[in-house]
Amino acid sequence: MGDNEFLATHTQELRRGTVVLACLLALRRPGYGYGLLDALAQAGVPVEANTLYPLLRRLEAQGLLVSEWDTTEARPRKFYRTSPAGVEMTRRLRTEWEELGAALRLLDSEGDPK
Amino acid sequence: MTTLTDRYIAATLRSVPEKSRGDLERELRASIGDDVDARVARGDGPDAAEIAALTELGDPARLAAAYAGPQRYLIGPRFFHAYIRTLGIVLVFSIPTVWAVLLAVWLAAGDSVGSALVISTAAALFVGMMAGFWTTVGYAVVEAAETAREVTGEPPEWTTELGMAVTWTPARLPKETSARTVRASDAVEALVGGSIGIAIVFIQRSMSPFTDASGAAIPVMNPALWSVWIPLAIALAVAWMVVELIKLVRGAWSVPIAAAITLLTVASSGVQVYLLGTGQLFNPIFLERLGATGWLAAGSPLVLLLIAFSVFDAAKRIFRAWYSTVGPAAC
Repeated sequence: MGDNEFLATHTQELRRGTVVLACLLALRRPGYGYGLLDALAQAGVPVEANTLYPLLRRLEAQGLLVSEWDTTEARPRKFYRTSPAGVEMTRRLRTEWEELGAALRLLDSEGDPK
Repeated sequence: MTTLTDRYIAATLRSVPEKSRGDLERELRASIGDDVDARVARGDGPDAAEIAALTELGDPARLAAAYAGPQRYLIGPRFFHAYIRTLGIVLVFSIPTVWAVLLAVWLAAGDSVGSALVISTAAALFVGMMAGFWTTVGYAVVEAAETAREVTGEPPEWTTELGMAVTWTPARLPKETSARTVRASDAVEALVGGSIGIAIVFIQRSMSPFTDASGAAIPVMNPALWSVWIPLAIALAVAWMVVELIKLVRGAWSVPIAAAITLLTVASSGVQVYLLGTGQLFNPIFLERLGATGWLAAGSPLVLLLIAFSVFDAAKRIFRAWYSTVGPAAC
């Protein structure tokens, strides 16, 4: 097992928790499964389809997303949107994320031998 | 015509609770369709695009597990099929092998046919139960170990070795797409088992290792049972065969069929347990000649073992009937 493999595992661990936040942020504008997959990849938060699709349904069950079927197009799609509870959750997760970033920067400067 | 996508969706929905299937099916179909279209737009052929899209979604059992969310299993979907397969092989080989070997040994030792039969049958059932128990324990340990590895983010160790491939390809999809299918083996079991059972009940009257002073065969089963119990047991066996045939022809489980099987199973098992438990099943004269009166007396270890087996078998049948009818959501 080389360094690269460890790096891949740790990066994956680090990213895992951010997918929920990324979804909640992106879905403030309504989106559907594959479209969101594409949008997240474009934005630099690549997620596996088999992780994202179940996650969307779980967030909906938690009341953080609401959904609506759009049947106006040839292919009916289930559109998700961040609910008011989801917006509040987004705010708190984002604060958490920024505090973590600040804490890491502090640790970095403290540990830096001048 | 069923496409690869149809088969993929059917395989995924199989272990998803009934109530969320409709919505999930539409959503999954749209997502797969979008992915296939995007790949075709990038220049893939339609077939290659479909295979690539499904390969990326991965093993349907895993996807279904992700939809179900984290759950605690004794033996989860990863190993369930391998477990059932192993259990089947273990039981099919262990019980007849032990039975045949012990029967041969006891007969070679100069025992009577009757007592050799009783002892080898009891031992074979006991060995079957032990084999089933330890197979279950083994898989439960592997499941727990794999779950622990998953929590710590380590790559799976056993999943590859015990039947479920980590590298999944759409070629592994089952052919049929209906979420719940009836197995022909159920009807075969009912017809073969039921007819053999009924035949034995009639044959045991005339074919017995023992004869009385006048040379007439001494029946194995208690002759007093012919007034009520044996006709009842035969009627239940016939009803079981009829219900299994209806199920096979209909091609699907339904609540009335599951209810009928439950009722018949409880009734047959009840008759068995009652007759065994009260020591009425066997002909007392036969047992005396066999020299096995104590072996099959009410409350003897062998009788308790047979009762346990009957109850276990009944519970398994009833569970399977309802599991196949209403799925894991209700069980």
